[in-house]
Amino acid sequence: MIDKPLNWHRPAALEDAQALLSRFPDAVPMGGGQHLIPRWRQSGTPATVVSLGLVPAMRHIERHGRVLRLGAAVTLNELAASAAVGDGIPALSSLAGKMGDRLMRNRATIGGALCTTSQAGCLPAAMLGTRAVVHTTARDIAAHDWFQPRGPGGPTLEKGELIVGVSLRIPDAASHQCLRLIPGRFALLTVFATRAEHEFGVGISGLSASAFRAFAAEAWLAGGAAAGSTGLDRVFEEHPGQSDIQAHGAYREAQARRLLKKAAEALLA
Amino acid sequence: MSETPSSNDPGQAGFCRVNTVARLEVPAGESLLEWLRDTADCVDVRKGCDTGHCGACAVLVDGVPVKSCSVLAQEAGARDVHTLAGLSLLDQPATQAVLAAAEQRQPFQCGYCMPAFMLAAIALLQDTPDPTDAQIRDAFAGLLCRCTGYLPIVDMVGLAARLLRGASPGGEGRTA
Repeated sequence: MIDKPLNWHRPAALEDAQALLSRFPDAVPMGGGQHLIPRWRQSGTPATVVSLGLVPAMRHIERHGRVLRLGAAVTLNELAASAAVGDGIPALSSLAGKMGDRLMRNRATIGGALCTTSQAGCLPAAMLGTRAVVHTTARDIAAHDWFQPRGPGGPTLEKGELIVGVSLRIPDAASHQCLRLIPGRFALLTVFATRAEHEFGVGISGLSASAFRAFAAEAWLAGGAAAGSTGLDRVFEEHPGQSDIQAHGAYREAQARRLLKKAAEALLA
Repeated sequence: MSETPSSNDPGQAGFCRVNTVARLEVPAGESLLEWLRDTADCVDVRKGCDTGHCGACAVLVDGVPVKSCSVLAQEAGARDVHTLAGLSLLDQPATQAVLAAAEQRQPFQCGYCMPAFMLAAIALLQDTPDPTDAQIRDAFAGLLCRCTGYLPIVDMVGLAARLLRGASPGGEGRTA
């Protein structure tokens, strides 16, 4: 249960949200709350919450040429149902429609998925594979920089800084490969690989503590992903599989290798 | 190409309509689940795991199924909330088809998860009147039946879809 009354705000504009965060320095910004609210039951409720679900500047889905711009407050089901996303990056549309479960996707947002690598672990791989740029109220951050330096604790945003949206490169081809845990359907491992002309992008989540852009896998794909190539080994030398209660590290590596080969078959066919 | 997903007017944020009958003031600092059960007397909304995993607390907010334990009550401000008890009073084709199919198939055992599955089935049939088995199972992902009696529930939705289309209620029903 929620343990105390909340000072709750639902601003209707980005400027109002920023003003609230300035006025209440300890306020917690919230998207759909699917990660935060269950966590508050264990760790305690914050004094002030700023709900961002209705901020128009965070609700856009736009295509500009070869770039897809997505607002941070767009829900995963809205992402999955979007014609612009389906036309531009069908693999992203498919990925969004399979994350977690339908009820969670009706509330969970892109911004929330960027801030956690737990249940929504597929989206970070897609952001890395499409070489996305995360836009905040203060700066633009390449997805590689956003995810790489941190573990599952969350990204480092300055006080009052908000994620506004994200821009993705629309590739010529993309492949989403995922290993799901049954029951629960949550992704244990995700590989999202793209090809734009002769450039490749590969994002992997679930292998090590945080999602990462797999430069070694990109080089392996650019080299034709030849059978017997040792190029893939470098991925696991740089990012060894993490062992935890859900899977042994060696199992994660074996499965990631299998998923990468399936992605290569799809992209190089 | 540009899309803006729909969103509600925050102007009436302090009030929420529950089961079409009243506009109730939503409090600060409660989950939608707690408020519906303790204040709005909607005890057909089940409290399950309280962590967002089991889905027993599902309700419809503006026709969209959500887990009410993972939604703040204030987030329901200026929105329509429906529980199964309220929906059953409405003459909506999808609702009536699911109720009739449940009565005919009797798919639930202990019944604790029943409101959640019924609401998810109604929401599915409103969007997809002729769902495949895969679509039904996808709609039920995130809902746990503690008796593990999933097959009869999926079968019930198939029957409800046939009833909705005006087809014969007999036919290719499965038995668990």
